[in-house]
Amino acid sequence: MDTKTKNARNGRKTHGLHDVVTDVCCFPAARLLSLRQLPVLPQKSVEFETFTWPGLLKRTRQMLLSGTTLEEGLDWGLEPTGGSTEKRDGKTPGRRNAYTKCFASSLFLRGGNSDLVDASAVGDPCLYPPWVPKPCSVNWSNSKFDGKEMSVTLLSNCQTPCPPIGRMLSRAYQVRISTPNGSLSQSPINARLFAVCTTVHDCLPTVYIAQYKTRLTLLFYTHR
Amino acid sequence: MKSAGAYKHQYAEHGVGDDEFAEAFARVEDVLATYRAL
Repeated sequence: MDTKTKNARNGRKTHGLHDVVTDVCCFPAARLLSLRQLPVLPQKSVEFETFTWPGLLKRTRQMLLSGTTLEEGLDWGLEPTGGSTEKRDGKTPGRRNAYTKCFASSLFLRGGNSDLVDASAVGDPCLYPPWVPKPCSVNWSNSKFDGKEMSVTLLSNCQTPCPPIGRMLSRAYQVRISTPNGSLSQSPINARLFAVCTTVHDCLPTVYIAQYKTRLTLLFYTHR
Repeated sequence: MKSAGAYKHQYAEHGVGDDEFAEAFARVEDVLATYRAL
């Protein structure tokens, strides 16, 4: 990978798997990663794009907060409650915050002047638990990605996969308890889920990609 | 045609029995609980 990370003073090359494991999967029990990429536009329109880094990062932040993987229909009113980490750290029991919370994330900036970008919109400490060693690592490269002048990719370890996996699980339960005459129309999805779950303990570092509707979720496991 | 049995058979062919199903469910539930507690 030719991107460099901002955490080192002069930048260093990233080591794909190693950096993902140490930065984004800092908590061994939580290894579900989501990938968001901006901007999404037809190849023919690429040369007419008029994006700016702050605009792209703001959109990425809002996609992260609202848990969507597409920038359509973003909920711009969603903001983390409380500016300080203490306030959102479970001091009000029973209250559920609607925004998607993150363990950690890794931001990849590709394009001109990406080394000068202020990535604080995504690196906001409000978005992460206070105990995470490295909440947001920023990687950048001045080379273009996919012909786009600037592009932002966010690999985050957040709650986004929870609703689809919850649905998969409930359907899997239905299949399991279904009678021989019961409906099994959902079985392809369940089969995929089981493939992920059951092979995991036999394998050493393995990356699984499960596509569910339009959402691409990386199921990342490194088993010890 | 017992479709449910047919599917189970396909899993069983690859060594996935009831125990493995239970383990898989437990694993996924654990992960979900971890994320929801965040």
